[in-house]
Amino acid sequence: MTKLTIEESLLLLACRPSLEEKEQKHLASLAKNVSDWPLVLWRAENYRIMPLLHDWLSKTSSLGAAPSYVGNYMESWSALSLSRSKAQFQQLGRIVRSLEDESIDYFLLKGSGLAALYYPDPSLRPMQDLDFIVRPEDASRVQQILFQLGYRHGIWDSDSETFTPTEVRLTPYSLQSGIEIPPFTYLVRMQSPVAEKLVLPEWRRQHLKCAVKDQQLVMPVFLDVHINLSEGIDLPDVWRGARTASVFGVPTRVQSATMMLWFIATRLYYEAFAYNTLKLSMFGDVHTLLTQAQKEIDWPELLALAHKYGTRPALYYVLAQMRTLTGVEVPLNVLSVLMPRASEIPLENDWGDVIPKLLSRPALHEFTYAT
Amino acid sequence: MATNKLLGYTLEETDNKIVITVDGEYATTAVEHLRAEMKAGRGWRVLSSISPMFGLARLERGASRRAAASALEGAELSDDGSDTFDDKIIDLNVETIFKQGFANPYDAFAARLKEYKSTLEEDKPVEAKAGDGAVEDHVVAATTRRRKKSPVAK
Repeated sequence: MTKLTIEESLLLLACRPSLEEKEQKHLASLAKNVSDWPLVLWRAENYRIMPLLHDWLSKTSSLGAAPSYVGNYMESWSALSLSRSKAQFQQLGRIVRSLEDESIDYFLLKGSGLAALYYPDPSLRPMQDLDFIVRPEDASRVQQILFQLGYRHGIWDSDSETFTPTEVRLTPYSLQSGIEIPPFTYLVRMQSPVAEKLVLPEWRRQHLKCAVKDQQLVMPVFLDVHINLSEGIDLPDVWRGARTASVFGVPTRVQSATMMLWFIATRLYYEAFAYNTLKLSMFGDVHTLLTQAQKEIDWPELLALAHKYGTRPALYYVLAQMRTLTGVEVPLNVLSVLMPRASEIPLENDWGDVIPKLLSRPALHEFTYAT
Repeated sequence: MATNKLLGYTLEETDNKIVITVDGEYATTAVEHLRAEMKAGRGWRVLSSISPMFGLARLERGASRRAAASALEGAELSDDGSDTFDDKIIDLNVETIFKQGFANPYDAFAARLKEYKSTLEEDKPVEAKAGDGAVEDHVVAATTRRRKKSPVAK
């Protein structure tokens, strides 16, 4: 058994939007004993869980345990993130209305659907962009609809506050071979909730992607329109279980909970190992799905997808660790089917346990010879 | 003593066309390599390496990399699809804009945090600065300590 550090434990608790009372007490107790707050902040920023961490420390009256500048850093980051979330969700409503008016088949993807449906406070789940999926045959129409809404393809530079539009022509070939349309951007202007000099260049350029001048905040809303979930996924599977749900009181097309779980748990694993992108926020996403949508999950369907697309290792390591670390219900017979075995052909994309990778912690199993 | 040239090139401009002549011992190999790149749908790399607008150096840098790739997308390198959409999409997605993952090491972050702390301290009244003994590094602070002035407009 490997014991997590105080900092690791705090982050693994704070990445979830819902915690039992005893877990909240545990978090508060950990916060009092953190010895390396800069490390916690650095990790939280890159894991994209800063608003959640700030929120949990506030709720458990633990912010005072951190040096004041650490609290200020979290508060500023979270306030800017909240501004972006507000802008994103306002835009989400505009886009949904337009797609519905034009009878376009679509559904929300990734954080856009998950945060809105299952997070107690959707703004605690920062999103880099809004994600929709549409039918490939509708992609060109959707592009035109988005142009009418003021969205453009191009590059926005936070340093110069300039937007350089680019022309993107969708061709039958590009739609056949790609999985998404090049992203769209819409610039939203608002009053900055944070003093200009406290908006760090790294936040402007990377983490929050914004510009501030004379207390005016410019926040680009990025929009990714997908036509497939990933390369090689059959379209009937992509659209399996898509349904209408109430998002902020508006009937909206969303992914089924089973597809969300399959996609996000797999993505968490692949992002970590294939792209070295460590997103503890997605660990919180998976936990949220398992707690908020447990009854909606069709486990046989999840297993069928895992077998068909070779994602058993990803699901096994993510779900098994989720059960161990959070106590959330994951049927043992499901884990048993997912578990890679020595008696089968070694599975592709089996990189082992995901937690050491997420925590950047070298983990070596101790082996000894049989006697 | 005469030496054999390994690889060289000359540039000529005629009728708004640039003609690049590659010569030397490795010329054939170099041209074969370029042809292979084109055939594999990576012609945009060739273009990016010679274009003053879409320089390779820019392609290596986050948002600029994305800008270059977007511009390439607009440039429609070929009509027959020999430049795959996927190659360009890699550079166009939002993940590239945000440079996902740990873009900067911990030390750089710690230095940035110190600067942030200094900026906060600039705003504090003199007596508060003296009383607070400067903001601690890596500190386990008392849980009862009074919060400093919020940087966030309420």
